Amino acid sequence: MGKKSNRILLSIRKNWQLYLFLLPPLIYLFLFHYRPMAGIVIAFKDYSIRKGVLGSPWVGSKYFTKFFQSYQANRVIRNTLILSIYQIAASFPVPILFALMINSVRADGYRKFVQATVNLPHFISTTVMVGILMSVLNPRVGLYGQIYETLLGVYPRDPLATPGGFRSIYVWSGVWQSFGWDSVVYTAALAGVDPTYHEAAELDGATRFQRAVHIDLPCIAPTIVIMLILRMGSLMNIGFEKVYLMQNPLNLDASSTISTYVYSVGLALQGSANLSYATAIGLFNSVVNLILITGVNKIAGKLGETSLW
Amino acid sequence: MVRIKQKKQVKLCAADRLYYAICSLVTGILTVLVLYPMLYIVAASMSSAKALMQGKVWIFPVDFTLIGYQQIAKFSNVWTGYRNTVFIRAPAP
Repeated sequence: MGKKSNRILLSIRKNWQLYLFLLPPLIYLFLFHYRPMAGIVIAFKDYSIRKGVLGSPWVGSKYFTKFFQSYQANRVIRNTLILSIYQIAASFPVPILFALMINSVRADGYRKFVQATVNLPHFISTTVMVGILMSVLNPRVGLYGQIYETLLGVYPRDPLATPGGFRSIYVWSGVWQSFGWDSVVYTAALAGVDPTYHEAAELDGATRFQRAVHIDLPCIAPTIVIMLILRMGSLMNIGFEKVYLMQNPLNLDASSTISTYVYSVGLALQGSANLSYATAIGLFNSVVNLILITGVNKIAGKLGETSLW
Repeated sequence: MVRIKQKKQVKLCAADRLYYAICSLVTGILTVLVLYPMLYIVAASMSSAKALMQGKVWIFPVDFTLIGYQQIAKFSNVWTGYRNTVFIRAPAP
């Protein structure tokens, strides 16, 4: 141990110019990622702005107890889990299937056109996206209402006014927006598949479909696993913006998630904002995420040789 | 990226032809699904409010007008917003 650290010190002294390059990112990480973490102590304190972080009295796990005993806890945790599991189940396989398919399209011009087009929605910002959703799905003047009326002669109900409608619209509009962009990773991985495999299989009489299943898919499996681990790590982090923008009193049953709840109790209430409570909920959320990503990473490491660290 | 040029295909077997057809068809449908709402939004932005309410707009603008864009240009909050976006948001990673 002592010998090893000596050697590291020696190498630092010898190549200090190189280690100097490491300094700016380290300072950045410390200032913007590690130092703010100290702020989570207010989850265990009765924080008030006048007394400051250090002066506020300790209250132990009061706010965690408060959260788990409130009737909201059950609902927001359940909503967060349902929404994000639904989202992963719907949005994870689509880019993979799309990449496999577009990889087998032989007309170059057509392939490039399709790839460029499906990338476009990624560049729409969340706010504009929700604005488009609202105007397209409007039951009277929107495209959805118009088509419904033309086909069935009556106006539909507002799809965003039901909990189930909210979930499906949230998830599938997300798929619509991101599947093209997400497939770029897999397309790149597919481009790296050794063509000799394909040639050998072709000689043995494999059809293109068999080659996609038995060559392409196993070759991009490590990429798929890594992407899945990364996704699982943010299982409880359903994006705040989009849920909040799509929220209305009628779909609150499905749309109040942990992040919107944190916002509404911690920041939105002017004057009576409870920062300690919000921090406690946020901390709980992050701990669950950390456990999930570590667990999934461990499982992935056991099953195959691919894992994040 | 070098794509291996397909050698002169003698003849594709039926299974291959079917698979290629399905791939082209499915990706084509997805492209239409992605492209259509965007085209609709663009057309709607250039149509008159009346035509929009009556549901006459499908792909091309009806009663072409740029009044919406004129309103945006006059609305100074938009320009303030853009300035803030560029100066506050852009430097952050």
